[in-house]
Amino acid sequence: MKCGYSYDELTAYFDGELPREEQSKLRQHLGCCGECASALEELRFVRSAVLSAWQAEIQAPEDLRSNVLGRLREEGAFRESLPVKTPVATGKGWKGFKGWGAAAAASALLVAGASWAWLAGNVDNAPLNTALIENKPAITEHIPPDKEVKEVTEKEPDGTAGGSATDNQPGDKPGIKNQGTAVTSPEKPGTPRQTDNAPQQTATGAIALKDYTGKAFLSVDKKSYSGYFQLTDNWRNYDSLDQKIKLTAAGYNAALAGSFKDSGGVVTINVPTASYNALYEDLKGLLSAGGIVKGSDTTVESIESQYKVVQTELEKVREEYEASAGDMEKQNQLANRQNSLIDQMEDLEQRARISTIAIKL
Amino acid sequence: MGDLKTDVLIERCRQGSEAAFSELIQIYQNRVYTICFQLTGNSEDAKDLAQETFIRLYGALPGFRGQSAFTTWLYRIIHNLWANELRKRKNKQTISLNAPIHTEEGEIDRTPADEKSNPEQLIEAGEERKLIWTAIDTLNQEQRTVLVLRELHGYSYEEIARGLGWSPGTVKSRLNRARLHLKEQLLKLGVKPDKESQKDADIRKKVKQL
Repeated sequence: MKCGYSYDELTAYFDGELPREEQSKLRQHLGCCGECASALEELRFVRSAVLSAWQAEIQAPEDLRSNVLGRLREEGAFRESLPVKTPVATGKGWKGFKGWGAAAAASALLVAGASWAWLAGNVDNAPLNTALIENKPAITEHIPPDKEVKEVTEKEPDGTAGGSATDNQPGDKPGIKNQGTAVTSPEKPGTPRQTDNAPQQTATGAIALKDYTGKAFLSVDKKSYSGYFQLTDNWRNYDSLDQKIKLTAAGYNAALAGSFKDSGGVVTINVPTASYNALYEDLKGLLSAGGIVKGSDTTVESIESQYKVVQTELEKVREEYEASAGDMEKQNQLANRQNSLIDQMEDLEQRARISTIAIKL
Repeated sequence: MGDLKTDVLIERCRQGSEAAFSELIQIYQNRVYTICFQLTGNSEDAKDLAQETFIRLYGALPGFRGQSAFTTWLYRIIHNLWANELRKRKNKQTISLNAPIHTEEGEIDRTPADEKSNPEQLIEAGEERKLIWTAIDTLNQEQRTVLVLRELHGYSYEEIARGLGWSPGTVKSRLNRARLHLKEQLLKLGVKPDKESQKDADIRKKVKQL
């Protein structure tokens, strides 16, 4: 503007983002500056147009609800399910997960349980009894082999708790107790179940675990804790799977202290699903540090083989890329391919870490 | 916070009740879908985003402690998912110039504005909104997102920056570019400022009540 005000200042004024004093100064200026006044008019025009484009609520597609419920049901997310009359349609995956969604559906390896499994002796509100409801779609649950739950485990002799992640075979429901009629469960008939041979590990109070990508994702000892964190109260960190935050029992990391306090002292950690059972055993060690541990296994998908295929492919493409030095066009193509493979790997990693463990220290 | 019915439903959802979650979806699905549609600009993405939002919501309900209103919290999930998706699509996106534009009223041809025989003739009752849609659809997804969040939902720069994980400077520059671009497109299509239009604040209030 000739008057010296910038377009940026004008838009900030229009959006009410200027400090109060400047806001009123500019307001006065508008009375005597035609250029600014007409620029402001244009901003109003755009806003009015955007606002008038959407004044009504749009009807959600009819199958939205059934798709969502179907997917969650398939993942065994509900403890009390609605009666199922017809096979549940699987919701279409998010575009970004297209490849994965198809593969997952094809392999039918979705195994799940969203029930809170209390790993500690504290069984207040523990939903164990709900697991006994009959004729419900697959309810899966981690049952700690504690005294308190003997009654439950005896009724389902084929179910078991614990087990090690390394024992998992594709199609297994590792360490997950499957109860009720598997109406919507994608589990294949005749899937081998684990027997009750959970390794009895001595609680040492120190834990260090690595996921299948080789990254250490969790280590706990009596004094300190570090791992991937998912603070459920801090939505911005909702997906920060790779964020490593160190937390000491003596004084929580300052950056987290607020959220941690707000969350009632409960920290939720993403757990690579493949390691859930190993973690289940290991976390018992945390009890000796005075912690209460509860876990929620929301989805278990056997993605390890998928991951390896993509990883191998990526290595190949990288080699090819190196080999085709000088050929710009080919290298561009290969670079795109690499990006897409990396995206795939990231998707898979994300899917693999759906399980969560909540720790109350 | 939030109304009693929602609170009760949330509590039941936390205990794993499908019926409760079904009801929660029923209550919020139009609101969620509308926002998803506004952000994505097409019904396919809107549906994907809305579905993912509810799936994510269910998993996150145990962590909801009522510090903010439920809807605020729900919208953050939408923004978060959409921001992630935008990041993924970046550099990958290709728009076919001839692909039809989806609106809630059906499809609109993506005919370049210059080729419209006489835009003035099209501006009749209801037609203007279609033209505005056409103009909005020429924005890229980041521009569209920031414009919707600012103009339609009234979020501050800071809130948008936090919600999408952008810097405030990026928010500002994308917003300004979006506005300038949209203005040009609207004028090109023959949409003129409407003197008799409702006051923006009133409209936004209405939008916010959705």
